[in-house]
Amino acid sequence: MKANGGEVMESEQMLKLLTKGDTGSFEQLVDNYEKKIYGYIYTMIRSRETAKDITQDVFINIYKNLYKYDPEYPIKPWIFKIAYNTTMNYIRKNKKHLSDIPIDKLSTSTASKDNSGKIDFKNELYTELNKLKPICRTIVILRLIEDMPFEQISCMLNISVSSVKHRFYRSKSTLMDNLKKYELEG
Amino acid sequence: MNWRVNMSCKYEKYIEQYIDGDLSSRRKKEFDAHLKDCKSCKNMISESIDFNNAFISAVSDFPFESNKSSIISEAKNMKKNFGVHSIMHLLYKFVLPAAAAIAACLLIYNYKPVYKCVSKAFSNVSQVITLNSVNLSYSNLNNTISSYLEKNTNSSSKIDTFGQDAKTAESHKIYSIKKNGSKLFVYINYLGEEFCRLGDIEKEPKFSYNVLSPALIVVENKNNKCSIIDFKAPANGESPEDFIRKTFPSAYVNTAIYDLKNNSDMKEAVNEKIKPWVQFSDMNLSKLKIPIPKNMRIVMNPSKDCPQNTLCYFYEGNNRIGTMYVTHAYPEFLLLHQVIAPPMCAITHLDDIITPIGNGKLEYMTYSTEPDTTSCYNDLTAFIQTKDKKFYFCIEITTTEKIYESKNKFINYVKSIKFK
Repeated sequence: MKANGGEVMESEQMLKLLTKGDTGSFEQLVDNYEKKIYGYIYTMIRSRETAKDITQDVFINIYKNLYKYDPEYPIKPWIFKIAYNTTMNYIRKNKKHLSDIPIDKLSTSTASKDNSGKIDFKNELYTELNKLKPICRTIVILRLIEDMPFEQISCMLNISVSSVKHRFYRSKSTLMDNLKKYELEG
Repeated sequence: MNWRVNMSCKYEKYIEQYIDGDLSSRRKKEFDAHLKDCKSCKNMISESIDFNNAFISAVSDFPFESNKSSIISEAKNMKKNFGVHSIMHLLYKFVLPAAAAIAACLLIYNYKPVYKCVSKAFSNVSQVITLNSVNLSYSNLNNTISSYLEKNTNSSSKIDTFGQDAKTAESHKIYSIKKNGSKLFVYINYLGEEFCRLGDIEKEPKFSYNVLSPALIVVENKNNKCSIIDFKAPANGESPEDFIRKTFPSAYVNTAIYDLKNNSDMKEAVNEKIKPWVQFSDMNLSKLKIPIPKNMRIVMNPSKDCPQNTLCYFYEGNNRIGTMYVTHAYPEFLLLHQVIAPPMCAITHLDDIITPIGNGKLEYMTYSTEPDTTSCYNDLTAFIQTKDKKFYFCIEITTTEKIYESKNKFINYVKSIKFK
């Protein structure tokens, strides 16, 4: 899927970066995407320090692989593809030790009564998310948080659109089933 | 909010697509009308939206400290080596693939045992045995196709008029063409300005559709070589060993049947009796992808769009009647499916059970068709009807990249596909 609309500017910036090695454009890219990428990785890994390290690796990978980027296509899926691959590499390499990584858990001890339900829900949501396969987790996050079209996710993950949809609907349904005990407002 | 109220309605399956705006206009109208009377669906929509909001609110709230300075500083250090990247680019693009190709050739020709071993490992991963009646032999099938193609070469060809609008709908345009006597219905869906995809819309004659039983397949895993190719366990956690002699149906049942003899309007699929993951004894259509007829293969080979590995064979008794090609999930690939089915038959969106992903690894994929029949068929379809069988050729183009760079390029690409 080619670039369109607002993504054209970014693509031009990337092109500039490609040809001139312009770190200014790269800074702009980091400004635009650092939080998004960190958020995605944090949701996948749930550890601040690890997410921070992986985010840095992602941007270094982006910088290293700029020559592979085709500016005719939108940059967001390309960036998230690198983020996904980097995160998956980390998960694969650390499969045996993942349980040793300290998981950030939101504390309910200092939370007000109003908030505690939401915090419980959040913890439980992360727990349930963690039970999904990483690819399904990725699809759910990209679809709901990044509002990425199924077609882009499909291109990004190299699977068919129908498969993306199927996994998304199934994963969402699983999450809803497992979290039905939470009665929150908004 | 209490998500997932246990209610059941046959329209339930459209809810997520409705929220995503992914229903066709016809289906949306129908669903809107249904919503007026169905509290269950209304509730489920509201619950689903509530869940989306709660999810977004929970996941978007995370502790974040920018690490920008460190990232930029590391990138600046790398900038000094930018020239190296250009060399890497050349290496990556030209030298390495060429070297890899040469190495692969050497390996194959000089180390036949290795080649044999790999080949055997791939060809025996699993065998799929169909349980019902597909009566044609493989050679019969090819003969039928050949004779069909020979008989139909003099029919009017409207391929040159491809691109003229037959009908313009909200988000797509429909064209119909004739080629070699086969009706080809082409559905081009415009998603934004740059995206178009090819599909089939049956407009002439009008058609009815019904629900098709999903395929019932038995996987007979003959070997324990899955580990060699890093077979990933399927989503439900079953290991490949668990597949052995196990019968399982395809995942979704919302498959349409087109009855082209019947000039009636499209009818709603009746699928109440059919539930996902329920076994069916009569298999009308499988995810068969039988080898592409030789004449087509010759034409398509130069496009290098058909990377295939044969993994599964379909048997009837002791006779192998078909082969499932597992295709690479490349950004651009073109498949020619040939689907056998009884007179009431269907084209489905075909997903592979097992799909090799990068590096030759395999990934289990569930087989699904989308409930919305008007938007799921991204196939260019022609059909052949014999006495009691219909054969469909589907050219499925699953990507928007490269060959879809422009409409004209796309059209030329389609024109270049010759069936004879």
